[in-house]
Amino acid sequence: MNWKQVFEAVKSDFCSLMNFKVRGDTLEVQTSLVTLGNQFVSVFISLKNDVFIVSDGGWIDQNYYGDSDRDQIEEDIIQRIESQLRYSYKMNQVRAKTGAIFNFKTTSDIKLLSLTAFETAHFVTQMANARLTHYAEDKIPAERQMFVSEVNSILKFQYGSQFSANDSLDAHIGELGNIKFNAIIRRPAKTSLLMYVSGSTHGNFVRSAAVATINFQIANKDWTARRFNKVAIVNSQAPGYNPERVHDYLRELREETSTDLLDFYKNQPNIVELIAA
Amino acid sequence: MIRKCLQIREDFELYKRLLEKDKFIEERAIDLVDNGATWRRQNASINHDSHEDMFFGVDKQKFGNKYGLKIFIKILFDEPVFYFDSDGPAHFNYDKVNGLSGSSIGTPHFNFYDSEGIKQARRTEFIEENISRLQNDINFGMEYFCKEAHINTNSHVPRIREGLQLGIFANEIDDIHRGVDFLDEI
Repeated sequence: MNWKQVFEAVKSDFCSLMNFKVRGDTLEVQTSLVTLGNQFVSVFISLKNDVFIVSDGGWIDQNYYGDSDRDQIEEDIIQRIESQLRYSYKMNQVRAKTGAIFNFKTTSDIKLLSLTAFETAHFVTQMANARLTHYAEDKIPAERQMFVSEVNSILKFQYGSQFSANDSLDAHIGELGNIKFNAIIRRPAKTSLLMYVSGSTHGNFVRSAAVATINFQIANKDWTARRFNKVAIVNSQAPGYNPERVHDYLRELREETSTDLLDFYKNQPNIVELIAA
Repeated sequence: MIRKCLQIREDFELYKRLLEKDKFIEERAIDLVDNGATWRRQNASINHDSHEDMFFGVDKQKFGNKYGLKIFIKILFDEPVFYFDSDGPAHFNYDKVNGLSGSSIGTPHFNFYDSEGIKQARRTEFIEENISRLQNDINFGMEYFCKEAHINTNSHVPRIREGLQLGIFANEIDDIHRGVDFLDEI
């Protein structure tokens, strides 16, 4: 492999993302940096009294990069992040007559212009991402919902009416009959009980693995349910998934399942066959 | 990292059907009202022949020409599901087939969702040929938006009216640094 050639190809594709727009006496540089909202970050450059000014164009303040609904606690967190970013990047602020707040840096040395633009672009990216992130505990579980919905849509497509999400074994009385499995697949030959393991934090991930383990343990003590397939599907892309820290929890879970734990993202191409196995 | 709207992915047929069907806004004119320090906004309901709640939203800078024209479909998403941005950041089109080349879609552009629930942007030939007029004339943009969004196809397109723009002239607006007193701050 000619690695230098590979590098040149990657470098060329990275660099070709950059673009520019001349806006009167101001240059807009579209950088190759992308926010969590999939927008390219632009910085603006102008020259006044032999000083280069590099700014965000007031685009952060005017929500060009998006924003999310926040309560007071999240607002305080954002304020703390923003003031630390301003301090670390030594950004100045000015309010334009239009009311928009501009973040900017200056340099009178043209050799340092690209550095100043580089810093400003990184500052904008981090400010935008800070505003696009949720911090309050009750808002984060959306991540788990996303995973559940992603797995369900694939299985529902495959199994149709045999697939039932968030269901319990109605024919059983007592606690087993009240357990909600993430999904039950009722095929004529075999019933499969599915639990999904995911979590936005380490704590949530561990709790999710623990609930799956207990639910299968209870099923395994029932004389009919013990013959059912027990399948655990793990979200290896969950923010709370750290293989080193959940190893023991997952080993306990594996004791109760009929097959190896399924890594949803690694096993996705043949996940249906693996569940049916 | 790619954010997805799973509801749109699940109900993609509905999403497509609602965007493609004929829709109507009754108002002859839509008057913008102040919203915060830098924006003016307004909404109008969209009528169509089934029950899904849809509305149109417009926002425009008070002292600049940037505007957005948006369709909201409440049962699918609390963010706009189809919209036109006259100016602002380029969009990163995540493309598993073509990779990075061509992934940057500058403004003006339309934003929409694909069948995976991923937000994408597109520019049309009409946009390429009318960039400056689209950026400076919200009602020219509105005519085009309504055509692309199948709103009032055979009837009057609502006129967007804003109050007076004081103190700044149109040709100054595109120059993002003009009139900002940076050096006084240092």
